[in-house]
Amino acid sequence: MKQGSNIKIFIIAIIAIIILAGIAVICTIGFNKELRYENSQKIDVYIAQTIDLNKVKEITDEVLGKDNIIQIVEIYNDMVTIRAKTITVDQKERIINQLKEIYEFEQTAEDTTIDNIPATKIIDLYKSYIMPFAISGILILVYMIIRYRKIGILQVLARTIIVPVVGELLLISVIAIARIPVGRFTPTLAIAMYVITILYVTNKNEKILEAK
Amino acid sequence: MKKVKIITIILAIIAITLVAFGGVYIQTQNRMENKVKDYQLGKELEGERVIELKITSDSDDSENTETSEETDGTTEENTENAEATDSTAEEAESEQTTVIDAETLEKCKTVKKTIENRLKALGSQDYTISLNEQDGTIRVELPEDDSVDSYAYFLYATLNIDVKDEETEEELISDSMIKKATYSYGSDNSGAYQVYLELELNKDGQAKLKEIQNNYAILSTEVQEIEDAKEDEEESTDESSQGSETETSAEGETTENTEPTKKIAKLYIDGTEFDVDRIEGNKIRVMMGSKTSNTTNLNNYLAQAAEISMMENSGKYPISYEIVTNRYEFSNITKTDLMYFAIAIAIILLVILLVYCIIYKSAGILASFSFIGFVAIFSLLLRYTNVAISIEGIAAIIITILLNLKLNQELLSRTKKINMVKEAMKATYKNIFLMIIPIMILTIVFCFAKWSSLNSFGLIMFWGIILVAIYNYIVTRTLLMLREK
Repeated sequence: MKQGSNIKIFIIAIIAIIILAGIAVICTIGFNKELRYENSQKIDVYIAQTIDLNKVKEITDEVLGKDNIIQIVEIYNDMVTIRAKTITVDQKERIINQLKEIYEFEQTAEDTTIDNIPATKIIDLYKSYIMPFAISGILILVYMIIRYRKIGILQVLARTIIVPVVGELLLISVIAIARIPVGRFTPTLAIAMYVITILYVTNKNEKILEAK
Repeated sequence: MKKVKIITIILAIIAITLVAFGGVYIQTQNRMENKVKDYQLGKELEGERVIELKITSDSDDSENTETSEETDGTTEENTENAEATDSTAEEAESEQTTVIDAETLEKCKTVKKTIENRLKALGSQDYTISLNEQDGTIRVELPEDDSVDSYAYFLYATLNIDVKDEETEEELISDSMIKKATYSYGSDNSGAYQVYLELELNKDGQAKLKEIQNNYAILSTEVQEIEDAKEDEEESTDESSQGSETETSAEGETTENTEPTKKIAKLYIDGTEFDVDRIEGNKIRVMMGSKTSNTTNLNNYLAQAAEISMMENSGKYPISYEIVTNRYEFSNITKTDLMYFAIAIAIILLVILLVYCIIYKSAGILASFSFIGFVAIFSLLLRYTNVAISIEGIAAIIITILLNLKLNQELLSRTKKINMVKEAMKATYKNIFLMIIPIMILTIVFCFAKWSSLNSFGLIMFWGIILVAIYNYIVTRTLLMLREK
C-alpha cells in the first residue's frame, strides 16, 4: 500500500516537473511552430510537365535542408511551390539549376522571385477549437456529477476537471520541451489526450462506485 | 449446417473486404473504372485554395511607407569581387520589402478581422488567415469547394453606403455612421413581396439624421412629392413662357406650386440610388428593388440585401486590398504518405488479431474475421456518408478501431470464462458503452462544430460508435453463437 502511494507521489512529482519545465520553455523560447505556420519564404517554379515530387524533394532537401515544404500548385501537376524558413538567392539558383538538369523548362532563376509568407498566430489556428471543447467539457462534467453523485459531487467534480487539465498541460509541456512542431497534428494530440483522460476518469469513478 | 453458416458469413466478410479495399471495376468507355466511391479528404490532406491579398498601390502611395532592404550581412562580400556584388545586389532586390508604419498596420489588422468576420458570416469553415506585419500582405487559406470563388470575391470587395444631397452631392450620412444592417421582406394583399434593408445608425448617425430631416426630404414618398411638385412647376413655367393663350389655367397652377422648402437627400449603396421607405428612431428602412411576385426576382433581391448586410456587419476596410494570388495548392501530405500510414496501422492490427487467434483459438479466429469485416464496412460507410476526413478524423478512425478491438477482446475474454455468448455480450456492451458515454457526448458536440476538422472527428466517431454497436451485435455475436452451439 505504502509502495503504491510512493509510486503515485513519484509520478505526480515527475508530471509537475515536466509541466513547470514546459511553462519555462514556453515563456522563454516559446513553441516550435510547424514551418507551414511560421514566417517563411517561397519560390514558385513552373516546370510545365508532370512533376515527380520525390525528385524535387531530394533537391530541396539537399539545398535547403530537411525543413522545407514542397507543394504542387493547381491541378495540372506542372508547377511546384517550394517553401522554407529562408531562401537565399544562391539557394534559389541552385534549386532552379538542379531542376533544369532533370526537367526542361523555360523559367530561369532570374525570373523566379522569393516571396515572403506571413506567420499564422497560434491563437488564430486554435480558437475555433475552444468553444466545442468548453461545451463538451461542461456537458461531460454534468453527466459525471449525475452518474457518480454517490461518490461525492466535489470529488467527481475535482477529478473530472483536474485530470484532463493536467493531461493537456502535460501534453503542451512535452510538445514545448521536445520541440515538437505545433501545427496541424497538435489538435489531434489534444483530442486524443482528452479522450484518454476522460476514459481514465470514468474508469476510476466506475471502480469507486462498484467498491461502494 | 453450423459450419455452412459460419463459412457463408466469412465469405460475405471477404467479399465486402474485397469491395472496400480492392474496389469494383467496371469497363466504362474503354477503361476500367472503380465504381466504389473515393474518400473525401479534408483541407490538410487534400489541398486548399491559397489567396494572397496585398494593399493596393493607390493605398500604398497614400500611406507612409518606407522601403527597406534586407542585406543579410552580405554587404562586405559585395566589395570583394564583382560576381559577389552582382549576386548580393540581386538578393537585395528580391528581398526588397515595403515596410508599413504602425498606423497602416492597425488598419491591416482591422482588414484581417473583417475578412474573418466575412468568412464566418458566409459560413466558410476551416480557414486560416495570416498577416505579414511588415508589408501588410494577408494570406487566406480556404478549403476548395463550390463556394470558394465567391469567398475570394468577398475577401477584397468593399461597400459604401451614404446619404447625399442630391444637388450638391455633399455627404450627409457616411458609411461609418451605420452600426448594423439587417434585411427582411414583407408581402401585400396582392401577394407581391418587397425586400427591405434596415440600416441602424450609431449615435452620430442618429444625431445627423435628426438634423438633416429638418432640411431634407429622405423618404421616397417625400422625395416623390417634391419631385412631382418640381415637375409641375417646370411644366407651368414652360406653359407660361409659351404665350398668354392659356393665361387663366397657368395662373391657377402657379398659385398651387410653391417652391419646395426641403432639399432632397438620397441614399446610395456603392453609387446606386435606393429608395428610403421608412425612418424610425435610428433606423432607416431601404427598399431593395421593386415589389415582385416573381420568386427569382425575390431571391435576387434577398441575396443582394443579405450580401449588403453581411458586408456592413462584418466591419469596414480602412485600407483597400487587391488579390495577387488565387490558386489551389495540394497538401504536402501526399496520398502515398497516407497509404504508408494505413499499411503501418494494418500491420499493427494484424499482429493484434494474431494474438487474439493464439489466445482465444477458434473464437479468436472468428472474432478476427468479424473485425476485418468491421474495418471494411467502416471504410465504406465513411465514403458513402460523405464525411470529409481530416487529421482529427484519422484520429477518430483509430479510436473507433481501438474501441472495436477492446469490445472484441472483452467479449472473447468473457466468453472464455462463462462460455455463454449472450451473457458475455450483454455484460461487455454494458461495460463498454457505459464507459464511453462521455466520449459520445464529446462526439455529438463535435458533430455540430462548424470547424470542419472537429466536425470530421465528430461525424467519424458518430458513425463509428453506431457501427461498433450494431455490427458486433449482428456479426460477431452470431459467429460466436454458431461456434458455441
